[in-house]
Amino acid sequence: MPLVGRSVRKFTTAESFRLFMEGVRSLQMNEEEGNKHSVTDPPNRAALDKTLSAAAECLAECVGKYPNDLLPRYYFGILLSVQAQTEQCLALERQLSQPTVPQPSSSEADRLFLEAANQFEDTAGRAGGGELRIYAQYNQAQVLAKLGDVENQKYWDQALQILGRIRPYRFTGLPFGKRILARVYLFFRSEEKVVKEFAGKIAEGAEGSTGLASSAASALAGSKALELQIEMLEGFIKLRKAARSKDLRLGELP
Amino acid sequence: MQRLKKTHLSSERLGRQVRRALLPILLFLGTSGCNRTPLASNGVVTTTGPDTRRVTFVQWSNPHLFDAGSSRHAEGVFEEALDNRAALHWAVLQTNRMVLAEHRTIDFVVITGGFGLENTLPDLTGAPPKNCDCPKRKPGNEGPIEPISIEQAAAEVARDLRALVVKRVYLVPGDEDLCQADPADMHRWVEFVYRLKGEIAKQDEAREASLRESAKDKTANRANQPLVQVDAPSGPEVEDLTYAASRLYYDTKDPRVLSLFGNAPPEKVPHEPPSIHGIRLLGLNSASFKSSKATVPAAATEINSLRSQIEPGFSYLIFTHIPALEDPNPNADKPKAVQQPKQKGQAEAIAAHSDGAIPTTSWKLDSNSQKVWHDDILSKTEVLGVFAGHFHTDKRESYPQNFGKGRNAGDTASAKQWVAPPLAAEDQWSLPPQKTARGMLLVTVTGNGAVRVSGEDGEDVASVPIWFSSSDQKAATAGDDKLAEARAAELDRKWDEAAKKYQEALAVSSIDSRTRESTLAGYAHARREMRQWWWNSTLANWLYLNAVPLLATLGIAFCFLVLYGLLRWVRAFGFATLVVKKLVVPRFRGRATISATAKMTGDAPSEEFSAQILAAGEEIRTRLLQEQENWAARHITLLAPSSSSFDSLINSIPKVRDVDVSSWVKFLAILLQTFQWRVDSGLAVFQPDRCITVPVAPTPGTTNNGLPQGGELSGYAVLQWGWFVKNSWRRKKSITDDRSALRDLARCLAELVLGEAFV
Repeated sequence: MPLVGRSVRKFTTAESFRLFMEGVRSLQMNEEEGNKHSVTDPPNRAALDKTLSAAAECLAECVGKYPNDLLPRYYFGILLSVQAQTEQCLALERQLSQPTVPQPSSSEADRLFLEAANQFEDTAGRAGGGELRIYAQYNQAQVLAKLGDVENQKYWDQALQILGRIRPYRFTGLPFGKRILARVYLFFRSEEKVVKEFAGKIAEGAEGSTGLASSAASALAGSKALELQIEMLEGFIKLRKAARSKDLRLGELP
Repeated sequence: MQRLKKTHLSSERLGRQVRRALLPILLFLGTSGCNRTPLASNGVVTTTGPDTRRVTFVQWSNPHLFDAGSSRHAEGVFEEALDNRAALHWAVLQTNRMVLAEHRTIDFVVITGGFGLENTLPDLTGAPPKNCDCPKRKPGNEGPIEPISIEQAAAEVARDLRALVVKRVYLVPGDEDLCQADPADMHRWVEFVYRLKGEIAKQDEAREASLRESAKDKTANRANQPLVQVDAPSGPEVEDLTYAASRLYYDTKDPRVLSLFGNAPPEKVPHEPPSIHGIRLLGLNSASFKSSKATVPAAATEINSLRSQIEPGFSYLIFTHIPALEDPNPNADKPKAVQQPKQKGQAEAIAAHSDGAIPTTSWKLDSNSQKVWHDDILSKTEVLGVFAGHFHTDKRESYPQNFGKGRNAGDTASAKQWVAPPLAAEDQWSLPPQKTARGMLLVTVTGNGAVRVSGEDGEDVASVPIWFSSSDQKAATAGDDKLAEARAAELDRKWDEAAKKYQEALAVSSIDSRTRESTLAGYAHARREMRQWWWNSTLANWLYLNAVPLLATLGIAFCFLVLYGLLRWVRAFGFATLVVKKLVVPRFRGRATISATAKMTGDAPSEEFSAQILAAGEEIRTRLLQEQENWAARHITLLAPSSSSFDSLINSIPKVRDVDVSSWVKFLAILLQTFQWRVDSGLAVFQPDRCITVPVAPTPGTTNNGLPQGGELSGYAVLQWGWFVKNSWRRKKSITDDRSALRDLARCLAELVLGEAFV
């Protein structure tokens, strides 16, 4: 774990930060639009397309012009995976609308997933040892797992290998000083008690919490959550592999 | 009634008697205690124990009483003679004033030669005849004044010196005191000193007799009243520091000197030189050091004799006439002495000068003697200072120790040489009084050691020139002031002004013939210059008057330009700015104050734009928090507007008496605000280009509240700390049918400003 993990948030120029922020803004707006569940006000496809393409335009330009900046690259990977999922959804929609007509597999989605995996891999390779590296690795494994890798399942194996290498830090996201203090603090108290004490407040308190116990609990919860996610993803890939190789048994289902 | 004089002891005589009485005791202490304690010539300890030693004296030089007017014409010859005498009288009065009015202790007066005795008639009765060229006026010259006998010269100087309250006077001869600076003519100087001493004694006696007679008369007239005898002040003791008389009498056996002294031979050269408060005084006869008639052995003898008198452990002051410095006006002596050196030693001296081993001086000595002077005398730590005269330059800034070439070329020993300004008007008679450099030197030598063993014991020589000025500063004769002004204008080459002043001088009805003559000559000269073509051409005239200042100014400006170019070429300014930025300007971490947006066009919604920038900053922060980028979000708490409540608080501060505290606090607040990160922004609204823009119908339900549809918004933001600009941006947005362009532009600039925190 690096002593100072903030260099990943450096930007080459202010213009790079502007493009990044514009991309993030469009992504968030896309997410907000997509999260609409009301029957009277469903998600607007045009708005979804517009925000996604705006985000793609900004982040692609940012990555193209400032290749050394890691955060834009990471978000560009996320954007590509969102685009790939969109492609998959569109393919599913087509399949559902015409169930009798055999639909070709979405090669565009796979291409986007692969591109996203490359961006995450690049980010993880240059992010040092901080949290960005872990998240980039996890995301890389996730997009690889989503590939329709039916033939030889090499991407799934690669995803499993990546997941096997991830070692979540307990205090990822805390500044160096706080990390030391949190370790000292948890030397005297058990991790379970601390997390339990702050249960239910962690999500709300994430924004402005500055207390040591709260920060430690938040960081612990984050690392625990990531561990669980990794475990779940591993299970999902194994399950998928088993289903494809016809080795799946009902007893093995979670 | 007893006579006071016989019972009165001068401080010098008292000191001598006390020393004699204390001699055995001091000798005992000297041998049993500090065996390094030096004894003076009379056997008395020369230092004053741990107390600070201090010798103060006044140096006069070059009075030129008897050869005045060498380069003058008509009445000017006599005028200069009077002027020189006035200067000597001034020197006596000024020295007395320092003692009586300023209560200074002046230990002695030293006159470093230059009486002008070469224009006197020796009176060596019974001496063998000598083929002498002096006094002799050069063909075509009207000066100098008529020669007088040495006896008359001595009587005149004696009269002046008897008015002096300082009772010890030391002399050294100058080159003008020997015929053509010929060392073979030293008997002239010896006779002068001999007769001067005699004249002082004679005049003292005459004065005493006169007073005695007066007292007798008074007694006769007022028989009932007690006898009142006023004591006559004694004249000063005069001593030749070079002891020329003794040396010519005993060593050279000069027949003229033998004849002069007859059966009363002079005292022999003392084994130890005179000493004042432990500091010994030496004289160097340099009168012939610039002369072509000087012989190498004679000069070497003088130098070696001086060297032999310097003993370790003592402090010495050396007095001479010609300084071992380069004459700033080498032509001054040309008519007298300058010929190419013919003797072998002098040729060597020139060679020695040229190789730069020894500083360039006006002495024409052989290289060995120059080396002995430089290495064994001047560089000795025992020698505290060398005091000379001889120079006649009118540059006041040169005296007493700023004779550039000699000083720069020499080593630290050159700093020991001090030059007194001349008393005489020679070479300076044409200058107005305020532009002359005539006067005398007041010197104080202090030391802080009981026994002096090295030059680091703390002796210090302080020398101040006192400039000659006539006691009556008014014009000596009517029109003289105008004449002086005209001559000053002449020196400045302002011929029109000079002619005008000359004209004014001629208009004075009571002008005397001498002044009229000078004025007419000056006026004619000025008019002649004014008839020249370059004077009548406006451009040439301007160049004539201003060429030197102009060239100097251009030179300085050129140097500055070259320096500026050079600094730019090596990027020194950029580097300096960078260094200052690095050292002074703190890092921008996303916290800045937004100043009110400048309205660049009349219809620009500047206030809304400021608010939009603030809102955009907050939006960026919120979005970063949404992305769990807490660290970044915390950084950009940024963009706070300048507080109006703070302003109103400051405005409400009451006045304390007449002091407007509010203004001062406001000033301090603004000063503090200057040195923090600040964002200056501006906004302009440009109308659409009607030639190329097709009007678009507004979308129903939207409004842009006055922003011209199809127009353009142009905004800028400058991020700065103090006067250092970190970055600036200018962006444009096209105006559509709503006000989103304003918001987008504000957000764009806010993102750029905050982005600087992550660069």
